[in-house]
Amino acid sequence: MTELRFWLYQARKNPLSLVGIAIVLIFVIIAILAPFLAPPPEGHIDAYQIPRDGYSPTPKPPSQEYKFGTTQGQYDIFYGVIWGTRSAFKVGLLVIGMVLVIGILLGSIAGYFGGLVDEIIMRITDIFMAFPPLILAMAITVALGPSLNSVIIALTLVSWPIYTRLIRGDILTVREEDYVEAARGVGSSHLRIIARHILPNSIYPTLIMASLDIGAVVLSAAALSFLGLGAPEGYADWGQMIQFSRNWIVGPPGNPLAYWYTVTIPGLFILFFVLGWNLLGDAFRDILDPRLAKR
Amino acid sequence: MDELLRIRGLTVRFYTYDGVVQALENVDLDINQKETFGLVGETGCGKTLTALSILRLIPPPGRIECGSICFNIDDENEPVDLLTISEDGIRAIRGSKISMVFQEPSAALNPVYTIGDQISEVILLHRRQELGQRALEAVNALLAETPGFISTLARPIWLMERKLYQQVIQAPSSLWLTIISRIFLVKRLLWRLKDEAQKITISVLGEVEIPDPQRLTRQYPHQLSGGMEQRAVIAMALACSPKFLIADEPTTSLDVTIQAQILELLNRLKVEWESSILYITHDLGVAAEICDRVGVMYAGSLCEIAKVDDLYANPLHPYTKALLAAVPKLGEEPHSIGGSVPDPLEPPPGCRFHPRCSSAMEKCREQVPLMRELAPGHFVACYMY
Amino acid sequence: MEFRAYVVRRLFLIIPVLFGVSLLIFGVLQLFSPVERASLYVTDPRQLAHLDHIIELYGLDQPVWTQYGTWINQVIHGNLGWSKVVSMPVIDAMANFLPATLELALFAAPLIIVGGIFLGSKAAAHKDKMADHATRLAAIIGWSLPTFWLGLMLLMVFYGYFSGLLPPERLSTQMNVLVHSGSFIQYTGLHVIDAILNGNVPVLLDSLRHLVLPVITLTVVNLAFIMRLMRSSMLESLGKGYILTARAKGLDENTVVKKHARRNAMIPVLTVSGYIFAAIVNGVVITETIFNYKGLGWWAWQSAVHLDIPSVLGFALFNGILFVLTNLVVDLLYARIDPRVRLGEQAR
Repeated sequence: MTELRFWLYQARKNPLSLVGIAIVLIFVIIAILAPFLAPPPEGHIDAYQIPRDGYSPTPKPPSQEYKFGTTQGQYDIFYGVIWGTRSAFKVGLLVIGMVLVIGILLGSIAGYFGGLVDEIIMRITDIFMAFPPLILAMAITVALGPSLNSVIIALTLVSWPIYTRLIRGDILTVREEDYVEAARGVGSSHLRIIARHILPNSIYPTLIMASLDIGAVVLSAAALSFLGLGAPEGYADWGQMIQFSRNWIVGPPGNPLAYWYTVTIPGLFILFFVLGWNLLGDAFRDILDPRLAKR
Repeated sequence: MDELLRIRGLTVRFYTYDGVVQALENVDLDINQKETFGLVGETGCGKTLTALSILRLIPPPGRIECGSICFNIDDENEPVDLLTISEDGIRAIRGSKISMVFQEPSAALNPVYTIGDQISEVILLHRRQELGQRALEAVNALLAETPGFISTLARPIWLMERKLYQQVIQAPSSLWLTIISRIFLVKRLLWRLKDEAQKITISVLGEVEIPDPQRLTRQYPHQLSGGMEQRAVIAMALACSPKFLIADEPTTSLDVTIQAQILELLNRLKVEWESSILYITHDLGVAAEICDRVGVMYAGSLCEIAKVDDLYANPLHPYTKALLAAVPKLGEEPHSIGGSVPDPLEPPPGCRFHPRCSSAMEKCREQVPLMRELAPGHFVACYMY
Repeated sequence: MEFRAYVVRRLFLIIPVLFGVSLLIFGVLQLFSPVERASLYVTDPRQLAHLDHIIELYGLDQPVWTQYGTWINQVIHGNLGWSKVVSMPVIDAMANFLPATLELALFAAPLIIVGGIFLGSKAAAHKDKMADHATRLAAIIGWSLPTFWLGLMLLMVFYGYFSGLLPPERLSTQMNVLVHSGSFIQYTGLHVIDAILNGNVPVLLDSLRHLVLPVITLTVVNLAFIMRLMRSSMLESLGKGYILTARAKGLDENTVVKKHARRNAMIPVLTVSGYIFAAIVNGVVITETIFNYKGLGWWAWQSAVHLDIPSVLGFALFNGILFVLTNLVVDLLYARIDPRVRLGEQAR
């Protein structure tokens, strides 16, 4: 109860975190209500495939029928950004989920057992961390063949080392605590000690911070899509929609901003999505940092 | 005896998330010239805050609400109120007239600068004119003595240096000098100031009984032992021969043997340098050893002030009595004080000690007792007398 | 002396990491079929007709360890295969594109680091005041900006709306012809520097004009990152005991912040500057793609889109090695700024 009161106090002190919560909630609602906000047309097989109106290369401005206009190749921008929200959550949640599973597994093994196992796992993380993440993700995506799944796998492969290290560090700090010694003393199994005594006492802050990294993951995924290494053409995906707009940055003479909607709208969706999570992350960092807390 | 410092009605409050903490409440305190005044009390009773208030260094969210701290800078001038003088004024006093030694020497030293840098920084700041004088003499000596050939080459530079050092002596804070000391390479002309500061640093380090001070100036804090670090901190505090030294539990984090050495050192320096010391400690034994007078503090207020022998022989305030009884003695069971320190957010009304006091009266619960002089120099704030 | 010992020890430590880096790239390579892998050993388009021959020659059907031996031997001798997007060996392509990227990074990196450190310490010094809130919000927004979108928006405004004020690519067509003509000597491949060396003002102005937007795009996001880091690190440093000591010495607030707090606060920033390097490289790929700025990043993007395996892996390997070396330099710098690291063994 006092904890809750303290959090509320923090939230009041940092009103930006409330803005963050609001933004994230709006996106959650958009994702859930996607079939109602932008119902797929009759007979549409894959809802994630953006419906198109003909094949004309020139984008059309917002109208009654297409609220945000259409891209080159006549993909409906409104439909794309709404269902793109779902794709964003899908990529973000999957990557963070997989990364955390790997991180908890390897991190607790390395931290708990130490010694040679720890050394090997840490050297492997070193190697993965010896590359700029986007470059390695690019190489892996190319190797697996460009697709949304490749992007998810690639992002998982480049992000697991960081979380493994963080979780290992958390575990190292509690490994020598008395209650762990006590559990060891009464003969609990390693698995039980890790699962019951070490993990609950050490990794919650890391888990919370990691889940707030969804924004960053979605940003990287969008970057890969923008580079043309992500979802197949026509799949509802923000990065790809911005890629579509590349050739329409400058309008015809006399009306240079004619196609503003093609780039601005999907971009604002990415920006606000990432911003929401980052605002939350910023607030949580203050709350969870014991050195800054209660000041 | 002349007064050096007079604190009246000092009140400090902290505005925190949980509420307003009344950290110091109406503290009255006098410190005389050339005396060591001990401030004792439990952790968190406001000893350190009293010291920080004198330097006006209360950290936020704390605020000095009211009171005055009059300080006798020298015999010619009127005492100044440290709480009302300008920010520049208090800065000129910090480190030169009043300096402070902190509890944890390893935290008090900046890990990325050498001991020499950190000590000469104070000297460069507060003894600039003296440094200028010494530098000028050095240049003059060079101009007078160096034989022909080298002299003709270096003479223009020396003349320039001489001009600058004269400026340093006459108008140390002139705009012209500030500009010069900012310009790359040109500022090197002032190098003799640093050089002289370094020399003073070495001699000050010698004063605090550091073997091989030359070497120590080039070392970083983490390379020293705790005792050596504390000596360096003391040297830093004494570098400008302050009239008033605040020592905040300077020996708490050190070994017992080193503790004794540091106490001896402080005692010797006090006599030699004719300064006063405010010695903060929770250890009554240490206070008895080093102090002339002692003030006992409880929950943000002073409850008793007396000469050290007087206090130990004839404690008046129930809290002082309880504190003395709690000191372990050979062959006796120490008596602990019943109850616990009051919640600073909601201190008890009246005398703050009354919930733990065996002889509390009705009046104690309602009104705050005032300090009264019972015997010459023996003050106590208690309704029993 | 101790510093030299530290350098030697640190140099030995990078050998296993470099080995691991090569293993990882080789591992990714194993995802391809022998025929695809054969293209790694091609140095001339004519060889493409005889891939069977190459498979046999380089033992691509041999056990993995033999293959690794063959491959690493080729890599060490600079043979990274054939880049089909630009029709030249990968190693030549990298040498060819490097100056453009270097030029971009040379402008962006100081802006990012100096700007970030400056703004971050300003924000910390004014904690919870207006300036802090404003910079903090700006930093979070900046950090959330998708680089590719920012670049396109900038182009829309400064190239579209202000018709051609700040154009994409590296040089305008005219200047490009001039730069590649005989009268213009390319000393370094960095147009700005070459223009100064040649005393050619039009080329200088033109290349600067083309650099503005890419440099801004690359700077904003990373500057926001450093700023945030610097702010929190500065706040921590300002709460330390030595800051109280510095104030008790009578130093003015400016000196306390700049001399005592900032130097300590920069240590964590320095430890992540390896990461900043990675972020710049990541940003370079996207920035160069948007602005059609023909540097390493643009080439990597082209190769990725055309599934040009040798180029992508060559680029990744190059970055891995560069990143390892950067981290080495960072560690050495770290040791210089923080005596505790340098003199590690002597402590206590």
